[in-house]
Amino acid sequence: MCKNIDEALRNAKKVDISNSTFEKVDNVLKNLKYRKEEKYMKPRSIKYVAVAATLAVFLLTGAAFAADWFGLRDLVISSRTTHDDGIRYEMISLQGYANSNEYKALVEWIEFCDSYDQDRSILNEIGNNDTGIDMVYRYYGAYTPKMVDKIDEIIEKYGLSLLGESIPYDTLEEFMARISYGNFVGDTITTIPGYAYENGTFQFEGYIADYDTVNANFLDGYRLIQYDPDSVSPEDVFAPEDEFFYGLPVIFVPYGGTDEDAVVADISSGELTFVPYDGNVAIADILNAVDDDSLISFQFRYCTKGVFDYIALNINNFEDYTQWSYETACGITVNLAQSTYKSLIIVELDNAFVTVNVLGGSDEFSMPELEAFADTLDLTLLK
Amino acid sequence: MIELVALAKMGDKPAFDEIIRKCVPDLFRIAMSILKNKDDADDAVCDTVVKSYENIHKLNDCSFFKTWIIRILINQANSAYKKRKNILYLNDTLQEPQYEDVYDLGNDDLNTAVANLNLEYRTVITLYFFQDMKIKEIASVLQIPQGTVKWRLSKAKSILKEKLSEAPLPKHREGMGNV
Repeated sequence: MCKNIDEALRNAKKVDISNSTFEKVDNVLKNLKYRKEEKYMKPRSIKYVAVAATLAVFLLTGAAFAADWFGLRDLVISSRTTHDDGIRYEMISLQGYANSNEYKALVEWIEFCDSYDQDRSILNEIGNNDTGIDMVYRYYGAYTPKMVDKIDEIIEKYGLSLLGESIPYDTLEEFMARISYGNFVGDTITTIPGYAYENGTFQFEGYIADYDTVNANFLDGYRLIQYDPDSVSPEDVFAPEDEFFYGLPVIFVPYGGTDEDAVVADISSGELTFVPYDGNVAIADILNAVDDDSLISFQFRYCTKGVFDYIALNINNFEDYTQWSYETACGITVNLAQSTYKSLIIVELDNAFVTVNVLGGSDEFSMPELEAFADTLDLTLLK
Repeated sequence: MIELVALAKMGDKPAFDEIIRKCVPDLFRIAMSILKNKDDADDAVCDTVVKSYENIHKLNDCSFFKTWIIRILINQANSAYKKRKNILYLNDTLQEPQYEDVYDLGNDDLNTAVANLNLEYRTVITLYFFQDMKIKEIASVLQIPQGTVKWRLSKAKSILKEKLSEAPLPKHREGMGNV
């Protein structure tokens, strides 16, 4: 009987859900506003704000806008510009400037998608059923043969190739081995593995430490979670994403606890267990580091030239950005842009277009810090 | 999916919309399993959509999106369930919400038995058997130890076994795979 119950439960058939649920969700989605990314860092010191303001004035009146300097304006996809409550929301291409075939291909694809299946009747009819469309086309959001034909038409027209198969990586080592460029991100940045396409385009995410309060102990391998021992246990507060927090051990300590009270989550056996913390860094030091230090997350996108990519980035109004060019420590000049909530590093290399989307703006991540971050990238290693 | 989640984290609204539309059926079924009422389940799913949109940038690893959003949904649904329980307690003239099957077990007795399990057991049965989640994932989603998940599963099955002891299940059913 028990086996039969197991079997019956395992064979449960999912019943289709009614359209009214989809309609309600669609209504919610329609009313969601474009969000601004959360600011991860505390406000900068007055000293830094003053330096940044002085530098901004200098840059705006200096050589920042040289005659043939490409700015965000040349990346904006105008057909994706929307207005909401008087605010302008814009998307930019991460493939190349407006004169590139990669940009033109993206714009043509976006315009096609915006005009195709506008009432979503085809998509709704398909639901969760298999479309039979090859995965390499599904990356672009294609769900009908007509969309596949359009993709083929675009890549032929602009002389591009498809992204190819996408492979996500579980470990940073595997990921770095796949993209084989060596350590171009330096040691002061923590990266989490991402995914790479067959044709060379790749993306990963990471965290930047606050440069003036960097705490090596924190970066070198600890994340600390405090909990209230009267109501929960470490097991209770362990979250799935904790396993992936830089791939580093997560220490749990009760509020007011000492080194002896701390335990470390260990999932190496496949089961969640906790072992006593025997690290060589005092919990108090890590606590201070976490209190004083914050991390800013970033996303790094490397788009191989000659490849048709579908990605675009929401930046709100490009006119809100201060833009300047900057020669990094590796000798390559990049374009930097910063608004109050976002910073961008953009560089066109021989074989790729690279964008770094930093989820921290001028309120907490100063211009010198953005430049310092750009300096940690050895772009000469990226072919 | 992982690419779409990465895009959504970058503020790409169409990508977020697409992920949500893909997840809606499973989110709704889980919400129904907890709340046993369509309107309440719809509300829980809609609240989950808003909450996930507001917080997606905090998701560390894109490959964990589904587990993460299910966790949000379960919190929303549990909180709605608690509120509703209070209402029923205060006003006994309200009707029990009507249960609408979202999983077909091919046997009415078993369907009813699962639907009548208490919330804790029903939830682990739903996540483990109907959503194909691993014990570890369920533990994370429900924020309970893995041992507790195993215990609840075992207990739930023994309750089902007891309830169905006089109504044997068919040994084999044609065409009843997960869709």
